[in-house]
Amino acid sequence: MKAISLTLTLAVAIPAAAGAQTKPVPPARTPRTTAAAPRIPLEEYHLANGLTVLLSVDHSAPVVAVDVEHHVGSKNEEVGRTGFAHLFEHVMFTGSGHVPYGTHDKFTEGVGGSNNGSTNNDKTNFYESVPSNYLQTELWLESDRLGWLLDALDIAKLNAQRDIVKNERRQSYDNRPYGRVGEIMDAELYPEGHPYHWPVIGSMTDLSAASDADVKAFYNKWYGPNNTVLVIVGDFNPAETKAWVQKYFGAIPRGGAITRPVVPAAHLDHAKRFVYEDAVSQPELFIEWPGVGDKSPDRAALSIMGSIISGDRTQWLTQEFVYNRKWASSISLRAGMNENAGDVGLSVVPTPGIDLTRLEGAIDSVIDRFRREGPTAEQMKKATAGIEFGSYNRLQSMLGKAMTLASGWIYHDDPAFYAKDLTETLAVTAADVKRVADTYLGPNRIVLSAVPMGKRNLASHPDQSTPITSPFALTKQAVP
Amino acid sequence: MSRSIRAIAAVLVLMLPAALAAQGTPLDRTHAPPVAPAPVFKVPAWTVDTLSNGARLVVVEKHDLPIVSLSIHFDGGSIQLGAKEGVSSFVGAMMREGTATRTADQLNNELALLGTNVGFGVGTESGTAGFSSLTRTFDQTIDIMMDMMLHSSFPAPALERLRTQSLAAYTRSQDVVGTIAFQVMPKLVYGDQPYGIVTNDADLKAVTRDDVANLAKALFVPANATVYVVGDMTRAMAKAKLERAFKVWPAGGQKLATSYPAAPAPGSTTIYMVDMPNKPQSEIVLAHAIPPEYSPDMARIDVADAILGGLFQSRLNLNIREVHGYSYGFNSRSSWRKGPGVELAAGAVTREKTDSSLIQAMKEIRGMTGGVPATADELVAAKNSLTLSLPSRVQSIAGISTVVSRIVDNNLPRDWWAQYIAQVNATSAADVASVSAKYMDPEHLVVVIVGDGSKISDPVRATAIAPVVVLDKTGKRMP
Repeated sequence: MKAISLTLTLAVAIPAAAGAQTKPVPPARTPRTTAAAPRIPLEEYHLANGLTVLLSVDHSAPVVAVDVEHHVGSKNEEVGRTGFAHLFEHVMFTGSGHVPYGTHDKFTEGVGGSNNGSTNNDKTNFYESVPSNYLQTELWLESDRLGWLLDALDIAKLNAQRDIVKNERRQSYDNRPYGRVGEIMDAELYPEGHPYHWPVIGSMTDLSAASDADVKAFYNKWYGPNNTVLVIVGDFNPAETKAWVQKYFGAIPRGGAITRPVVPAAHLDHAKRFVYEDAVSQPELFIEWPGVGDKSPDRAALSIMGSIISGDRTQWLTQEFVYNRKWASSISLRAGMNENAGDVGLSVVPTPGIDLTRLEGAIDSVIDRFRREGPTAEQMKKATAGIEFGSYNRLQSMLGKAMTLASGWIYHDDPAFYAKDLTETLAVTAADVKRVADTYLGPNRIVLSAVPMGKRNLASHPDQSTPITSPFALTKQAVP
Repeated sequence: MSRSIRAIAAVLVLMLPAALAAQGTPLDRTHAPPVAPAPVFKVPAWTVDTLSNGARLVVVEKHDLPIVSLSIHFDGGSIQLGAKEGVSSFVGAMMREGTATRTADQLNNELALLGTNVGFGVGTESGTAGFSSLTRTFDQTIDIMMDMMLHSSFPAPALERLRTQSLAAYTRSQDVVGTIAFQVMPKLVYGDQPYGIVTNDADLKAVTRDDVANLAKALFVPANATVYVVGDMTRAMAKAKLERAFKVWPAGGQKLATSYPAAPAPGSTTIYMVDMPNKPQSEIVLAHAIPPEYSPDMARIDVADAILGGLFQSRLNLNIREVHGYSYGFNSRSSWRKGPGVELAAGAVTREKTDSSLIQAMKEIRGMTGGVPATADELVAAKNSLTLSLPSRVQSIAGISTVVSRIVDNNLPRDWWAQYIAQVNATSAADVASVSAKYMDPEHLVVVIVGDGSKISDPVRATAIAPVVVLDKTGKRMP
């Protein structure tokens, strides 16, 4: 993200996905409720240079959202040259061939709108939401940084953004309690060289070492119109807008053919156990299993599994540890899915004084019971009861709709994937949830205890835990 | 489904130059395109009725989606009720712990099956209750909400569980530089006034079950309540539904009196430092009291804030982040309250650049008072950000509720937004300098710096910007 706090890797990073490709595909079923998914009106077309354009008219407020998404993320980087996708997210706000620095903010924030960008392992986006009379201006700005960014990029600009990214790293990882856990987990779940091994923000050593030729080559390879979707949602005239899109984007040359990296599933041959010392006052426990990527047929069942094993006060882990035993303030188990691989991650904030070894053992017995018994009918019903309201609720934001359409296009070649996702989610059965729990919550996993400095004895099974630090910390941590 | 089309598109690209030539003049990309006039901002129309129990009902109709939001605003909070510190933080969670006729689990499951959530909250000077739902589940949801509001059982064991969690969260929050900075700042600005008090662990330990129950009982009364219904529901339908649901909630309670002392006169600028060893970034906060919300200077202060640090291209962020690279972001905001508010400039900066960042922040704050007058471009961007952003706030029912409730809650004139927009647009560079000198006076600032004392203390002292006072994490002076 360009400013303020970033959710970037922390949310997306804890991935995992073992052997997803080999799992049986659940048979197709008829959805069991009739809750109709409200559709987002959509027109899709393509420019000659390969740019995909998605238009959705909504006159309910005089606002228009523009979202440009590129199918490139940190996974497309090379070992020794990491952090480029995120660096480009920053560079994209520093001016382009015909648009001086500051102009982008002037015509977004400075006209009553907003802008930002985000990068994850798989994609990068840039967006603005503005009063609708500024749509043509935004298309001018977006087309210029898509087509002429490098004309305005020099080493001084790159260096300035490198410094800012290092501050982002300090603020969001190094200075944040437990802020490095996600990248440690990724580095352990995905072996060296795997495209999800390194954090989205990259290695600061790599960033410092990058030449401007390296950086430009990365841009030329991945940021062509044929690897990009332009989404416009809101109060606009489609015919006029199409003419503008052609006028501003039509002359941008097509980029080279895109070859996407082969991304193996997350896989562990054996269990791993670590202790990590951080500048914190309380220990926390993290467990991560290999999971699946966003394209897996088990995606919907794993998502529902997360909200049933932990969630409200009657759900399995939450009920047992927050309410019955009172061993934890909170406990969460969620499937984290990148495009091609993912994880199932558990994190628990223990009540002060609770022994992590006992806690881990007790968590395992609840999970084992869930794997044997699966969810109840009422738990299944609760898991999907909010979907209808949520489907309408998200239609209220132009920008939210734009991002929904863009994600569908990037991950599934289908802007309307949200509707398919809803159908698949409603079709998940208790047996599906039990099956994925049994499949994915097995013994091969990573257990990480994050403990206060000098207190390795507070870890779960301290004698069996290997001390670990983040390979990406800005200030090298002393290896214990 | 989409990418196969590109095979055809590849052929078309060959024809493109011809097409462009046919259009005649090439596109001039160096100039921003023309812009149509700005859409006129219309505050959605609202109606006001008084319900049988004395509560006010405000309805805004929006029928494009089958959803509706209900939110009750209670005028007054822990300050007006003289509640013990820390009690209000437990009210919302304790009201989910069961009622006379529903266990906590039953309550939870009924709401989950409706696909919605009912929330209660108590702040320092207001309380809220409400939910968003499908229009068709409104009746069921409001009945559960009323049960929670009127018949919560406030079980003592639940309070103990929540207290343990709150204390643990408090302990954990003490590891974060930003938390510490904003924990010590209020008392330095407000002294012993209510706004100067920040809940600490001793407060959390002293809260009783009865404190929580009594606060809820005193605050959630019709005499204090304005009910906002926004979305797919007509005025008549909303009125009928609420009259039915509120039969259990008879008239009563009293309107809470509101009065606040002015902020204490600020002393000369002083730097208050808190040591947190090994932190790679320091948090810097610069603060100054401003008048209560809706004071005559409000619009001018908002404009000045946008120029100083409210936007990405504002002076502080441009200097400290973009030009110098000391930070991932350094911003400002005007924090408005019913009593005196506070203007804040803050950011996390690289440990080694703590002194340099402070020097730059002070330079920008000083420049605002007249040395570096607001430029025409700065004024336009600041004004636009405050006024042209309003249409985007009425995209959602929640946003509409906020825009309308601001007027009704505070008994402002119906055309208040138009007045505010006019005041913003009338603000001159001289006004900006004048409010900056008055309300972000570089000679009378509270400056808080939290970070690695062993590394930053000497360089900060060497700036000679102001005397340094060392505090502990709770704000107590260290010897």
